[in-house]
Amino acid sequence: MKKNILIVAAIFISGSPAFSGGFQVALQGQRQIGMAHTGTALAFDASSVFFNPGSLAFTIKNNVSVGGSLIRSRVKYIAWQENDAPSNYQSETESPLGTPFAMYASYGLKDSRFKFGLGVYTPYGSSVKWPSDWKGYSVLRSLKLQSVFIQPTMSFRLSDKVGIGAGFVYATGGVELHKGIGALALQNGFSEAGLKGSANGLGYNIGIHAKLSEDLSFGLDYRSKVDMKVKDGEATFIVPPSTSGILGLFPPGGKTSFSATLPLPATLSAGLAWKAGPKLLLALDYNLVYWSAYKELRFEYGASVNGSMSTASPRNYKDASIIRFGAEYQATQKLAVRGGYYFDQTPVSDGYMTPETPDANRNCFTAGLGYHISDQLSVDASFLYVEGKTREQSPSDIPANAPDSFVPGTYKIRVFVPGFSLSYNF
Amino acid sequence: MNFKAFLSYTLVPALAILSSCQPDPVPPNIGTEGKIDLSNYVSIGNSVTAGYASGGLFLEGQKVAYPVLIAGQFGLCGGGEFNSPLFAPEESDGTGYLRLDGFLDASTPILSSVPLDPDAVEGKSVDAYSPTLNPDSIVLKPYVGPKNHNLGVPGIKVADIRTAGYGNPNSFFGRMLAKEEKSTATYLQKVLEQKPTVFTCWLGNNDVLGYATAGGYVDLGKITPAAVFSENYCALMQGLAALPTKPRGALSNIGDITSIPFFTTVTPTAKKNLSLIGKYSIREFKFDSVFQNTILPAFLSDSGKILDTTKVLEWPVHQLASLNSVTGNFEGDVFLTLTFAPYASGLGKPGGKAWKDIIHRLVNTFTLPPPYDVYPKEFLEYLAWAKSGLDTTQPFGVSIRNPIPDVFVLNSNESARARNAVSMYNQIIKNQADAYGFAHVDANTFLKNITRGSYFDAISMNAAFLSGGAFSLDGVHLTPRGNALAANEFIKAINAKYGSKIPVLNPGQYKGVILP
Repeated sequence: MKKNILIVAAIFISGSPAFSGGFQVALQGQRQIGMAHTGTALAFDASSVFFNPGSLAFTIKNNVSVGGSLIRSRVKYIAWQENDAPSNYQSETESPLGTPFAMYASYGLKDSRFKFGLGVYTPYGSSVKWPSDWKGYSVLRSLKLQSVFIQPTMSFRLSDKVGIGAGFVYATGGVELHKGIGALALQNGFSEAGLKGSANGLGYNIGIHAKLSEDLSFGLDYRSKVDMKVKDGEATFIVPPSTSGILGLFPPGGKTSFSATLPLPATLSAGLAWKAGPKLLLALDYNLVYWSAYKELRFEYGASVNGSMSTASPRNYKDASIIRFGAEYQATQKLAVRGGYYFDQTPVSDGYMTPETPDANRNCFTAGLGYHISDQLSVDASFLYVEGKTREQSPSDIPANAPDSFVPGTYKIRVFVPGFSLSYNF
Repeated sequence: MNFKAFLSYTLVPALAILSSCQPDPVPPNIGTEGKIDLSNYVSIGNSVTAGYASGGLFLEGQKVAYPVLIAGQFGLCGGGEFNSPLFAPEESDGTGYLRLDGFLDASTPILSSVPLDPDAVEGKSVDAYSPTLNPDSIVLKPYVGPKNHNLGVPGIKVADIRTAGYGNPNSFFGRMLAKEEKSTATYLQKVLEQKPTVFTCWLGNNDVLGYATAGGYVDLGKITPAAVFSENYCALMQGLAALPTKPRGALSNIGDITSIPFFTTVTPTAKKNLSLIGKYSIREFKFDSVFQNTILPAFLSDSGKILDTTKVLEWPVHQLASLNSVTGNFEGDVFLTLTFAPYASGLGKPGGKAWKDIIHRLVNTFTLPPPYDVYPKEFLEYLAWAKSGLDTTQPFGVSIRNPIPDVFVLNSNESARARNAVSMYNQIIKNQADAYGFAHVDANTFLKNITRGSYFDAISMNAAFLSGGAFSLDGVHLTPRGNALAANEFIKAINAKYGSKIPVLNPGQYKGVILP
């Protein structure tokens, strides 16, 4: 069974547009998504492998769940407006569909204080595609970041009140980036640099769950940073032949290798869950995402590219907070209705907004339904709507040392994410 | 708590926040705001205005001339029709142009000439040596097509605009005229006849450029005296302002010519090469005085009627030292022209390629009057060479017997003269803009910014030859991207002056030089 799940995971395409702060993807459990992706203090099912391994020991049944979401995102761009130089230029990303997924399984002997779990999920990813001739083509044409975390987990109930858990994370994924080179025209269009490589990294996820009272639970979880390392990526330059030949600006044949490290930042989560009534569950989560680990996007090349063995583009992300409010109402014995709101603070400082993550503070609204088909089988559906604040990238804010990394203008992002999962308890 | 409480705790605040969501950003309103009538736009100017690039005027270049790009933006704001005197598709190569075929090594481009389009041109060939055409040497077929609005005439100076019959010496102007006008019309007349409602004017470069690109060699290009410039320019503006259409317009000044790649590409390398040889000064050779003023007149004079080799060789060998040969310090504002590029690597070594080419070229510009025209050009060439006193076994550019031909060198006096002229012209242009309330485009600052290097939409732009993005293969005229930037300068100036909201172009979507 578990093996099959892994195979399914490998077949899935996990690209997902940047829609949470930076390129974090907050879509790790359908029940939780409906409740604003709270979950640090909740002990629903095997999804606690992700949300808080400490909670896993408090889940009642053994459980297998498989879920996924369909992300449809859209970034709208308006050219920067200057005095006496208005521009009627606008562009829009081509809305690629992202399909992040989450699969969990848990198992523990009846009445055992131990519970074992496995999670396969996609906590980071991004997929952005701009028209190839849009105004900012020299910074980005398209980006696809994928990561799949595989996390075997053990959880232990210290007492009836406190549980702890820890998981080991093996992350695998890839990156594919294309950008135009506006300074090098071709007969047909402009030159392009393409970077493609697979990456992997290691990390962990630890958490503690405490029942403060019969109705109130507290959870604390720390998911470590995972450095995704691309060791032998392929860099391809579609450039005028003379530039990769006699001029020696690009590697012979326009191809070389590259390496890069993309930090997937650590997240500290604290949550409260309150059973406010026999039918009503309220949850509050706070996440602190240590985005400051993302200083720059740096590529080291196997051969000289435009006179340099590496390129670097500053990011200088700042740590960012997310605050989440979620609720679940058991409308009937079988049907649960969920809703939530969260505020997602951007890690991107003024001047550092890139077309790959045209990031801004985001208001996020969620809704969800859960239905118990039988004692064993349940289905959950969710809907998430994200609206980024309209944000301007002013030319005067662009860092002077990286004039080639940013495109001034006004950006706005909207994301629509329906999701669905199937859960089996035994 | 019940379902109502659930709603009030979650959905109600959520909806409240949702209702505060912003709409998608939209571009601002564009248009003339009723401040300017764009129905009849006419562009006044020279080669840049015509779309001349890479050493020639051809269809592809004409289509991306900056006035064409401006007219496109005007069109978004209710502008009228704008036609250029395009070469017909079958004459698309026009006057011919330079093509970049490849590179000998990382720093030596191989340029070749796409020849004149025989369908476009009658008569003699373009002077491919100079980036500014010698308009005398070319006769173009007349333009046939819809009414022309782009009065960009390659080669035209402010000094020329009131010359009756200018269509004869300058076929770029001549081809815009009806046959009967050719010998009578002035450029100024043709401008005013168009009765523009809006115009752009970028004239004046040629009043100094020809002098500078010929290394201050005055027989190839003279500087127009400021008084003449002023008189003509004022007449043009007075005429425009007096039109019943009361046109709006933008006048552009001209850039510091020594900052263009034509002067900045070869100079640093050549200076470096010379400093590797040692602390040598270079010597210019005033070819004009030797060849034109002494040898040729003597050779062609009646007293020297008998044109046989023996006779000619009896002439005394000129002592170069006495022929205005100048020892210059190769520091400061001394510039070597882009046309010197093929010879720059020969500096400090024996060799006579530069002189051979120069003599060949100059000899070919002379037409011997009868009865001497029976003599082949090769004879003249031989003669000039024999009488030059050059010793090409001496190190080139170092020895007084093998100096750098003056046409390749703009020395510090010459560059100062050119700059001084530019600053006088620019003052006149500014005064005229102010006097009539026309918009003023500061192309001088614009070109300086390009030279300094800048970025737009994350794309770098500078004045480097080939790779800089702004200048075409002749190192003087703009690329399509350079034209888009120039068009934006005009649009900005017009918006600033008249309060219109005409949108700018995206230069990143236009190309610089396409490398092979």
